[in-house]
Amino acid sequence: MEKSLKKQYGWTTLDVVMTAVVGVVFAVLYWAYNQLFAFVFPFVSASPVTLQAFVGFWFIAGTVAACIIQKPGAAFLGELIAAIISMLLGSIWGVWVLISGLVQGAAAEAVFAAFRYKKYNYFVVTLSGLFTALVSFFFPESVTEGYLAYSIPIIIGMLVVRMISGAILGGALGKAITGWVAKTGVFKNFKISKEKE
Amino acid sequence: MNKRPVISFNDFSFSYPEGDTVLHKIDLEIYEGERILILGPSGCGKSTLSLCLNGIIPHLIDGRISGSLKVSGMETSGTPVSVLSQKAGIVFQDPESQFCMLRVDDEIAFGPENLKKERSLIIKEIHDALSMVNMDSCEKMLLNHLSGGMKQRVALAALLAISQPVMIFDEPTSNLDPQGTYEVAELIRGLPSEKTLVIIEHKLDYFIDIFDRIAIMDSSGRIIAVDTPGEILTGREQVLKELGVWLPQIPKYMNKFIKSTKHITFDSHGQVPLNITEAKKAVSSSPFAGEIISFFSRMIEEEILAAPPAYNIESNRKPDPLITVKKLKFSYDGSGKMALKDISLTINEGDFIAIAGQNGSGKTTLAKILIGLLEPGPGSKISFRNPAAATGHSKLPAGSFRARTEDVLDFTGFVFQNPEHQFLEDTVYDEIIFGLKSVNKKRNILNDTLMERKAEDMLKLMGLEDFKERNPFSLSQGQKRRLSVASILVMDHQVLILDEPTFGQDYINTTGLMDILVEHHRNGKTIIIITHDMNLIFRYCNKVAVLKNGTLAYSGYTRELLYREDIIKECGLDVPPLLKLYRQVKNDAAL
Amino acid sequence: MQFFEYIERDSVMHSLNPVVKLVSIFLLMLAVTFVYEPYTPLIFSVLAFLQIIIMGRIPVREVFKMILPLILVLAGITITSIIAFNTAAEITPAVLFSAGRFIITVNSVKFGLTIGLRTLFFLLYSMLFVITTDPTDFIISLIRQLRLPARVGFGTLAGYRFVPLLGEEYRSIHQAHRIRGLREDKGAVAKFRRFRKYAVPLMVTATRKAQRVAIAMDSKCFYAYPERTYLREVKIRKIDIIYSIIFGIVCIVIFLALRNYGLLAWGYRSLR
Repeated sequence: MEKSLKKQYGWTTLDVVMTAVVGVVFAVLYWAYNQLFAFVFPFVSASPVTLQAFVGFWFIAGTVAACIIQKPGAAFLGELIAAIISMLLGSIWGVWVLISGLVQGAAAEAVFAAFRYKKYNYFVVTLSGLFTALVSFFFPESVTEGYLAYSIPIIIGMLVVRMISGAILGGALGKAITGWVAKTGVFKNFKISKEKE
Repeated sequence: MNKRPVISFNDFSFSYPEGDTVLHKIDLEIYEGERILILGPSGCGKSTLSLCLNGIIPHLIDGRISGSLKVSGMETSGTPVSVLSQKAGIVFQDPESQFCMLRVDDEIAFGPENLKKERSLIIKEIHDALSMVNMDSCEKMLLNHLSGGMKQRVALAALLAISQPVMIFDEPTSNLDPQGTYEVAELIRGLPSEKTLVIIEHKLDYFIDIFDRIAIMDSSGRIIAVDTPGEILTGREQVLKELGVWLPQIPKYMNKFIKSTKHITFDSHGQVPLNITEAKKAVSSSPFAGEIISFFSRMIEEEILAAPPAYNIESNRKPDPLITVKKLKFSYDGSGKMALKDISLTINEGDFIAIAGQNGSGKTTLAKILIGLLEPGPGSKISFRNPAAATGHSKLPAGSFRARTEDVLDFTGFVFQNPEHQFLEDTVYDEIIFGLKSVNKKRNILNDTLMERKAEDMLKLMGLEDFKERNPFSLSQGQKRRLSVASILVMDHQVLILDEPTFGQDYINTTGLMDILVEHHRNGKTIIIITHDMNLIFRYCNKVAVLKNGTLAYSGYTRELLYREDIIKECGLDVPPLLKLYRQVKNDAAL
Repeated sequence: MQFFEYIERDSVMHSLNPVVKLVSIFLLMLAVTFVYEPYTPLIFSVLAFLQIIIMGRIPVREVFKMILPLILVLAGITITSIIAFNTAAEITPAVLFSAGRFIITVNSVKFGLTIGLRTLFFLLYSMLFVITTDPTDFIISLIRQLRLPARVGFGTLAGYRFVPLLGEEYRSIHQAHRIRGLREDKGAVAKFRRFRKYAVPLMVTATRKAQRVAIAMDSKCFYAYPERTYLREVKIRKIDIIYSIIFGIVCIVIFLALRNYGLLAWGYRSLR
C-alpha cells in the first residue's frame, strides 16, 4: 500500500532533473528569442502595456513541467527550479526572481490542485497561466516595479494584456509544446505518455 | 577461476509497457571476478540488460519482467535501487550526461556522500580514485572543460570511489576518439582482478583480449551463445557477421587466413590469436609465415586501404581545385583562444577527403567555415567554386559574407553530427519532400509527381520506405542517421560534407551508408567527411587533412599518411591493427 | 548567454555562506523596495558597487563590462515609469511638460528615477551575489541551511550543468536549419512558427539527457539513506555572523542618515 502510494505521488530523481532541464531549455529559448526579437523590443518596451505581452513566457517552464510530470508539486517545483536557474544565470532582479518563482509556482499549483491533479487539458492549463499572471502582478511585481503608482487606465490595460499573455504564452503554448514533443515518443517514462489523446 | 556466480539470470524476460519484448528468456550466470563482453547489434537490448543489473529496471523504468535476476544473491525485482546500486555500478556511453555536479571532486564525492561516508574518508577516496585513473590533482577541474576521454575516466573514478563489486560498462568508448578509447580501454584492462566486469562495447580492437567470455545477443533480445572469445570469434563468426557487429580485425583476418588455407591452426588449442602480440607469436612460429604475410598484404590492399583514387569526370583531366583555403584562422570569442590557426588547404573536385583529428581539434569548425556557417578571422582567404558552373580559374567570391554563404549552400550539402538538429517536419516523408521543395524554390525544375517519385526512391535507397509516416525523432539511431543523410542527399548537391556520419553506428549501418556515398562519389560528386575513425578513412578516403589543436598537421593522400607515423601518433590517431601487425611481422621476417 | 556568472576569487564575499548572503541581501532589497525617492537606492547602489570591487575583489573594468549591456534596459524602465506615473492622483502637481491629457510632473520624474535606480540597485546586489557565490555551494547551502530537499537541489544542479550544452545545441540547430534551406523569416508570426522547430529538438535532447543523468544519479546510490554527508563544508561560521551584524549596522546607519537629511520617503503615496 505504502509502496503504491509512493509510486503514484513520489517524486523520482528523474522527475526533478526533468523539471530542472525544462527550466534550462526555456532559459535558452528565452535568451534566443530576446535576440530574434531584439528589433521589436525598443518599441514594445516603450509602453508598459505592450511590455506585458511577453510576460507569459516567464511561467511556461512550470506549465510544461506540470504537463509532463503530472504530479502534485510539479508546477510549483517547475517555477522554483526555473527561478533558481535564472538567478544563477544572472538576472537583473536577483533575489526577487526567487520570490516570484515561489509566488508564480504557488499560483499555478493552486489551479492544478483545484482540479485534483487529474486534468491537464488546454482549459486548465490556460486558466493556470491566467491566474499566475494575475497573482504575480500584485506580488511581487507591483511592489518591485511600483505599479501601484501608475495611472489607473494603464494598470487596467497592463492587467488585461498580462492575463492574455499568461493564458496564451504561459499556459496554452506550454501545453502545445508538450504535445509536439510527446509525438516524438521521448516521454516514455512520464505520466504524460499514459494520456489518451 | 572462482566459480561463484555473482549475477544469475534465470529465464529472465523484460518488455516495455508498449509491448515490445526487449529481453527474451535470458539464462546466464556471471561469476565473481569474471570479465564478460555482451556483443550484439545496435538496439538489441544490451543497454536494457545493464539497467536491469542495478534495478533501474523495473524500479525506475516501467515495464514487465518475468523470471528471475539475482545480483549478489538479491532478487532485483524485490530490492530497491539504492541497495542494488551499492553492488553494481555503471559507466554510461554519453560522457556529457552522466554527471550531476560541476567539478571533478564533487562528482566523485557524490556516491560516497550518498553512503554517508565521513568527509575525511571521502577526500581520501577522491584522491585514490583519481590516481587510479591517472588524473592526479585534477580535483578542482570543471567537468565541462574536460575532453570526452577524461570525462569517462572521471565516471570510472566515481564508481571506484563507491567501490561496487560489479562494474558495468555500457559502450564507454563509443563517443571517444582513438586516443580517448585507448586510455579508457587500458584503464579497464588494469582494474583489480576481483571486480566482476560486464562490458558492452563494439570497438573491440582495443580490448578484445581482456575478456574471459563473450555473450552474443541477437536482435530479438536473446542470448544465443556464451563462450570464450576464441570459440566465439572462430566458431560463431558467421552469426556475428549476420548480426552486423564489428569484428575485431586481428582475429578476423587470422580466421580468414585459416579458412582460405583450410589446413592450418595457430596453436595447439586451435585458438585464434586476439591481439597483435599473440598474433605475432603465432605467425613467427608458424611454418606458413611467408604465406600469412602475403595474405595480409593482399587483404590490406583489398579491404583496409581500399580507398579508390580521386574520381574525375574525364579521367585524363587534371583535377580542378574546388576549395582553396589560405592562412585561415578563427576564434570563437573574437579575440582570445584561436580555434583554428594558419590553415592552408586545397580540396579538389572529385576528392573523397576526410578531415581527421581528435575531438576538439577543430574539424567541425573548419567545415562550418568552409561553407560559411561561421565567419573566418580577418586575413583568411577562402575560395569555394561551384563545380557545376563553368570550369576554369577559381574566383574569389564576391559580395558579403552572407551572400557567399547562400551561394555555397546552393551547391553544398552538410549533414550534421546530430541528425535531430536538422529535422524540421513531423514525418519521415515530409522531411525528404522539404529538401526537394527548397531546391524548387530556387530552380523550379520539379513538378509534384516528380518530387513524389524522387522522395520514394530516396526512401527506398535508405531502407526507410516502411517508416514514411513515422515521426523522425522516434526512429532508431541508425534510421535517424540515414534520414538525415537522405534529406540532404535528395537535394543533389555537387559537394557533400558529412560530420561524423558513422558515429555510433554498427557494421551494417556503416557499410550501407558508406556504399551509398561511394556511389555518389562515383557519379562525380565531391565528398568531405569529418571523422576520427581511421578504419573508415583508410577504407574510403583518397585524401585526408589531419588537424591537431587547430593547426593542420597533414594534408595529402591517405596512403602517404601511413608513412608518417610521427603525425599519426602526435595527433592521437591510430593505424588499422592489421596494418600494424603486418608491419611488425614483416620487419621480423626481414631480420 | 549569461549577464554575469560566478568568478572564482579569494575574498570576504566569496567566503561567506550563500544563504546568509542571500538573506541579508533580500532583507535590504525588501526595505529599499518600499522607499519612493531616488536617493536611497542610489546610495545603496554605491554600497553594492563598493562591496563588489573591495569585498569581492572584482576589477572595476569587469563590473562595468557586465553592467553596460543592461544600461538600455535600465533607461527603458526609467522612461516607462515616468510615462506611466499616475499624475492624476497628485494633490499639487508641479507640471514640467504637458500635451493634452498627458502630463509629466516633478513627481513622475522622481518616480521614474526611483524605479530606475532601484533596478540598478537590484542588479548590483544580484551581481554581487552571483559572481561571488559558487553555484554548487549555493545549492548545497539551500539544502543544508534552508532544508531544500536534496533531490531537488542535486536535480537542479544536474540541470544547470546543461546550460552551456543546450546553448550550443541551439546554435547548432540554427545552423542546421540554414543548411536545410530554411531561411530567416521576416515578421513576428513567421518567427513564432519557427519557434516550434527550435523548441522540439531542444526539448527532445533535454529530455533524453535528463533521463540519462537521473539514471546515472540513482545508479550512484542516491538516497541510499535518508540523510547524507557532504564533501563541501557549507556551514554558517563566525565570519557570517560578524558580516551580518556589520552589514545590518551599516544599512541602518545609512537609513538613519537619509532620514536625518529629510531624504527618506516610504510608500508610493509619498509622491502625491
